Amino acid sequence: MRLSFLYACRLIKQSRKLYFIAILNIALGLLGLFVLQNFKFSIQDSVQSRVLSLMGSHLSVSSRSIIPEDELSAVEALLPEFDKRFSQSFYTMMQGPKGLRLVQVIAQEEGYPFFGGLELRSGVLYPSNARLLKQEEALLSPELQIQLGVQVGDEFEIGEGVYKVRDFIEKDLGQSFSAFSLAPKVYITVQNIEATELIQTGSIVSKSYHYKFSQELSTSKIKQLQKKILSPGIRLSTPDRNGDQISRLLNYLNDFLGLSSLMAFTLVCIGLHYYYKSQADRWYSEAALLKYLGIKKSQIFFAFFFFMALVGGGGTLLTMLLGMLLSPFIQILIVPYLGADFQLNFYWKTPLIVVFIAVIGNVSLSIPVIYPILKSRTAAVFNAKIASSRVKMLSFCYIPFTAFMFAMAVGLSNSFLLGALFIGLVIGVLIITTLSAILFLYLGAFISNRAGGSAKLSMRYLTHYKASTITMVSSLALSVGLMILIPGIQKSIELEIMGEDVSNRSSFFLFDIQEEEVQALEDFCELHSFGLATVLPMVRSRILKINSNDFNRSINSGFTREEEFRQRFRNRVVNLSYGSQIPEGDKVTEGKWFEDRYNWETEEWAEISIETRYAKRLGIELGDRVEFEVLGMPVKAEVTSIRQVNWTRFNPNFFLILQPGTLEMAPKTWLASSSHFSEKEQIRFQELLFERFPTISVVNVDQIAERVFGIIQQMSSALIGMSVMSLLVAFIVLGTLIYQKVLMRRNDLGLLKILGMTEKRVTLLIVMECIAIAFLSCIVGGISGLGLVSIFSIQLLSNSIFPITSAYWIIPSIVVPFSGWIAYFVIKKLQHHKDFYRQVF
Amino acid sequence: MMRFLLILFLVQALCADSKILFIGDSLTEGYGLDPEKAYPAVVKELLLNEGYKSVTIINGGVSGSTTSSGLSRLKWFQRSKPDIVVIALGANDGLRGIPVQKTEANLKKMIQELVSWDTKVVLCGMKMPPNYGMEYRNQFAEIFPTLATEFEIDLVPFLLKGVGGVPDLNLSDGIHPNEKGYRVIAKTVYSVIYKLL
Repeated sequence: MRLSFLYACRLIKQSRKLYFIAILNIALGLLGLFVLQNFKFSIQDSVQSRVLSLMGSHLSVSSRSIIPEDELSAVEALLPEFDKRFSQSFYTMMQGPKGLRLVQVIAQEEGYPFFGGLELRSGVLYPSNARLLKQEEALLSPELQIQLGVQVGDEFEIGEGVYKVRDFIEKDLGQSFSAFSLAPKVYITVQNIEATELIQTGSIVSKSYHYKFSQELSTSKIKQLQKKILSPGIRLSTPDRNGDQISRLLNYLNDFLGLSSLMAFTLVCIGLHYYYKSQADRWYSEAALLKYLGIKKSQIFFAFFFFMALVGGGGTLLTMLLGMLLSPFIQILIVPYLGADFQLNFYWKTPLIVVFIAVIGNVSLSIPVIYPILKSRTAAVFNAKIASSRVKMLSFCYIPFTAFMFAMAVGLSNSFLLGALFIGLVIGVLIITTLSAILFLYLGAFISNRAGGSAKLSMRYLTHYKASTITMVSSLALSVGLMILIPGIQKSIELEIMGEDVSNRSSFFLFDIQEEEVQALEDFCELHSFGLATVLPMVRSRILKINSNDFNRSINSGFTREEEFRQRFRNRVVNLSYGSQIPEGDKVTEGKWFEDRYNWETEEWAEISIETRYAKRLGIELGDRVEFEVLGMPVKAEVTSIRQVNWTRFNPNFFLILQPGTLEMAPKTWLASSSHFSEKEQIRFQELLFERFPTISVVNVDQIAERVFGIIQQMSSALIGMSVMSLLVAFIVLGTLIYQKVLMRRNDLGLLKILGMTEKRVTLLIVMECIAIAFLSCIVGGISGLGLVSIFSIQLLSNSIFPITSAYWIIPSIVVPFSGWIAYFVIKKLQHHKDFYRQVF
Repeated sequence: MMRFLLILFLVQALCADSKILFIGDSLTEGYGLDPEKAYPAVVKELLLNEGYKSVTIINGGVSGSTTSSGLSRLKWFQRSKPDIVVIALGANDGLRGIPVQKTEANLKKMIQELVSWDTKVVLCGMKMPPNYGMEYRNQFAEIFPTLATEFEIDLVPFLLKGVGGVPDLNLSDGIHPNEKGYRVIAKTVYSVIYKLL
């Protein structure tokens, strides 16, 4: 072992500069992974804190009925050390100067919510940074200022209690889109709730106990807690169970960051593999010599293994050093682009993960390099050229590395399918690029016979060093492919979540519009210049039969909570709509959209379109027949299309849409969405609408949408940052590949110089070679990258449109000149070295 | 002779086909339960037990509906030609704080329409829970007897009498009755309906 280690050290000593370049390559590459991983952890933390902000606590136990003491005690007995607060909420009518309005009164104990809170108009965050509410004080939703005409300092009554408006709420951090309330909120202290005299027998009041722990509860613990709740109607909520739209979006994007980390790491591996492979020539003769001198195979193996470990270890140590040193600067550079809410932190687990990945990755990558060397023959001692031609990378040696990459892919993307797909596609792209390179070489041989001057010589060298050219093209093409994939997916996610034009989103959703009010509402909007984006009919119905089988089942008392929920879902009334146009953003995945109107006199079965996940949940397939009951009248329909709905678009939509001509006569209500209004218009719209149509329910989605889109845009900036980081890594790898190539060619270049070629011509020769390789790689890699974008975006993210971004043409147009420039830079640097042209023989 | 005629009249009444339409919200629809367990179906059961041979029940309950949709829904059912229409709407108006004048106006339009059909009308009274405040509760509760008096129609003073606020008779949400609760409601409604048949 000692001998092996000393030999490894000697190998490094022999080529210190190369060693330094190699570890710098690893370090710069891994630095990308380091930063990306830190990003990922920061985002995970950000997601977690957002989820906690929405939830307000680590656990809450709530019910509209009494929560039995014994059940609460049983739950608390299982909890770790906790902090506990109580809150109550109910709906009531509030009287203001402009009239009476339904409000939701929320009474909270001092110190709740534990996380998040209310951003007040005065600029403070309640309760963490603000003075606590006095007994008679209240915080009000801003709508109440408009609807009831109350101002800060005004007194108002809730039941028998008299309160004073302390401030208005600018942003409720505990409000998610999925949990919007039908009334504006009034926050008061729990101590003063009795003064209202509204909590009596028969009152509908929701009571909640909220808990905060030093760490979050495990899934198994939550299950244990759930078992302790026996009374129906008691709800146990934890942040994980909070199916909030924002959290889902952030987790979704977080997985993409994992995938980007993986791409950055793949780029590092390409560079490292190319470096090791280029060293294999020399090692082959060294190994043969050692064997000739009687050194054991295992000692030779460890010698090279130690060498590679020292390269990997050196690179990793440098990464850590650079990572620690650069972190504050990266923070200063990146955080302004991510918004004030986002905090890029340093996590100690990041270097640990990076070290682990670097060690395992390096070891698995060393196998295909060392194994053929161990098979070296004594003849190689005397002839290095023979030696280099005998270095063969056996494909089975790549199995451990492929397995490692697969594990990484699954781990970083949080999905077995996505991980497998990624590895499969990378292998696919490698095969395609290799085949393209071989084809290019044949064409190159043909061209080199007809071209003249430097071009001819460049082409000759490229075709002569087939293995090197193929490796270079496939490595570079894969890098270009990945470079294109990252912004492609980023754009795809943006399209998926935000649609093409964010400014088109609605400000309000309007519900319960009666048939006779539709025209009046349209006229009202036209009169006051308010845009109505969507107006859709909604017909309540019940599913009776699916393929002649009864659908409804009764709920037995023996059902578990989940079974009861499922059964309720099955018995639940379903909302139907109808229309001739497919809703914007929807995509028919099976069957076809309606082509004509339904005629009840001639046709028995109308056509129906069902949303994908809803169809799956009910077990409905294309061609199935569903029978509905619309207020006692039967409606029969055959599933003629299954539709993918983009629910993130903030537009009203339906699971079930019937053919036009089916439900026009049925009693229905309408729902609508408004255009995007400015803040001033929003106030005016609410005031006028409330006056003219008091029974139409209005939900202001703008504030919630603003938050969701704000976070998405913030995340999008993070993704741009990630993409830039990955691109930097890719360019570093690109530079390394070219540097290695030039170094490999130093003997040839020396010979050319001796034969009388000027330095200028030698430089031109190398630059042309590199440009040719880069050009080919950009074509093959670019096409492969676009193919990958298409697979990830259209197939995996189910995007209906191919994401188009300027990165597709910017990347190749940078890569080609950059390759030429780096080749020029490297050759110029090497030409200044006094020994460069001496190593001919 | 008189006794014979009375018996004949009763037999005729018991054998006649009666169609009762219940137009309401989730309380009528039977939210969270099999529709056969909701009070309209139980009313039918009670009538059949009393000897009425042919009673058709139409459950026109729609969860979440307010009085605003009442009139258009009535028109959908006009072709079914009901003998009795039970209006059990208004609870959602109250829970959502809709101005009582609007609720009253909507119910008035429905009753006027039904009067033109020459159909017997039963109006079910609703009350708001105490948390809605005394003023609104009183104004809201007043709508139903006022309309019943004005149009001289039958009134179920409070649909949820003996059920509202009783945990044993409601689902875990504390708002919707369970199977036991519906049996109580059915008896309350039956006590008014049977006089009209």
